[in-house]
Amino acid sequence: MEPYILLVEDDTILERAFKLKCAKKNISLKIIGDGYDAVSFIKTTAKKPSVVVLDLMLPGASGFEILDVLRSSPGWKSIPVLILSVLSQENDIKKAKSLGAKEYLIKSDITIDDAVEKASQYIPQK
Amino acid sequence: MKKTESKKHGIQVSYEQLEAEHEQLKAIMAAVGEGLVVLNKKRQILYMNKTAGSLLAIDPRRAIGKHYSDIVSLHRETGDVVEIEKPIHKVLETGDTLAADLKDDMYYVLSSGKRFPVSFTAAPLRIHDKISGAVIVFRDMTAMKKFDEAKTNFISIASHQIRTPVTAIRWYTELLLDAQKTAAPTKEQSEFSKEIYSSVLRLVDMLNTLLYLTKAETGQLVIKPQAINLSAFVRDITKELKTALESKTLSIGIGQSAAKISITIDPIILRQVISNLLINAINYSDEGGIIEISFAQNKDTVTVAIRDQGVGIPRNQQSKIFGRFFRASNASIKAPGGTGLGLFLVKYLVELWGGKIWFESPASWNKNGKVWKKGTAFFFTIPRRGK
Repeated sequence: MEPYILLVEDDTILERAFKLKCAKKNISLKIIGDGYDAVSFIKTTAKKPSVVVLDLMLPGASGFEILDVLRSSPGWKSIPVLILSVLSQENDIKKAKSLGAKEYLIKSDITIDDAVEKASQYIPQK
Repeated sequence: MKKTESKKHGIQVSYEQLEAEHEQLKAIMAAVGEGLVVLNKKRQILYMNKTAGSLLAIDPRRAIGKHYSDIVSLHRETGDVVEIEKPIHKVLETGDTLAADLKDDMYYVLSSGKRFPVSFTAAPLRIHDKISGAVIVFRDMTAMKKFDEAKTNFISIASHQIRTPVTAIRWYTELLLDAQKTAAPTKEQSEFSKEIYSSVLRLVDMLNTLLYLTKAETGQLVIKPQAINLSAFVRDITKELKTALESKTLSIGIGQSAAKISITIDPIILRQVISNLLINAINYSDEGGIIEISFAQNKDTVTVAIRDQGVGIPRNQQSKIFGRFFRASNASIKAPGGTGLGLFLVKYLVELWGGKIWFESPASWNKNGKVWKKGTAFFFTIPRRGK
């Protein structure tokens, strides 16, 4: 079972950039583009990722709701969650961190390389 | 007989006329879209129209005779009760007309606890030139208030939303620049990609400055000082700017003394200041060359200097450089599209932590015994906290 990054992001253009970068770095990636789908996945999958990269504004369940589900689902609590969002208000950052997010990254402030690098840190070396 | 009949008829007509006028007046007051309440000198309700009744959750007929303050109280946003007596008292005693609107942040609070933002005018009721009561006209401002808040947040919302396509342009340009390392692009293609990248970084910077300034101006900036190792901090920021530096073949030198300097400051604010100054240095530098960050300290202050070898600031414009929306005349040639808010924000922030900011242009450079003047050097201070 390959360790992988789980990306929860609904913007297909940004998704693709992330995917291309992961492919270049030979990192396995799974993408979920809808909040509700993410919640079902969390509740039903046996193959957990090494790290979750989570957008906040999603269709269906929001990133905050997903954070809540993550920290109350057995086996998911120890998996680091990096928020990758366009929101930068104090209360959004505070809220995400209080719900268990490990890092908070603002999409337009980071290179695509750094975004993938920060996530891949949590992938165990082969 | 006819005279009496015609007199009776005259009275009848007058009576009918009066009744018709009365009915018309009642209909007008009922149709008025705002709440209308008439009080006597004892502040008892003489009349309340239908809108007032529905806003105050009371049957207008039942309200007659009651004291106005028994039905509703006036509060400020902060929750302090403004004795409703006070404005009405003023109106009754002095004959002044009083008004409160959206910006006064007043609320009507009903006995049920329900409350709504309100705007009102209270005027004296004059009959035969004597004040015999007060007329209050009021409006539920809930929708208006929401709209006002939305307007205030507009720049913030728009700037946040704009980040998504800006991120797309940024990331794909990075992928393009990456691909060009191995794909052997034409000189033109390579230049085009670099121009796009430098513009998108300016966009990112502009958005962040706008958002930051909105926060600062609406008093939402929360300052959280932390202990910082200056060297590691500055190194971090320069790492983020790696791609921008490479695109202009600039190198960055960080003074050695930074390694020992530790200060207590809000890292987000410091980052904003240093980033802004570095991005300016990059934008106004020509291809090749150095940007230097150096430090000096004494027991009270740490001074940071950011020096570039770029185009400098024209002498006749130097006094205006920290002004809001000001851009030097050579700025548009070098870095078109700036907002002119960057240095204004930087000065605001430096002064927020009690520091000072100034610059020298042309800046003095001293390397290997050679001394020359070029570019600009920005200096700012960080006061040390007492232990």
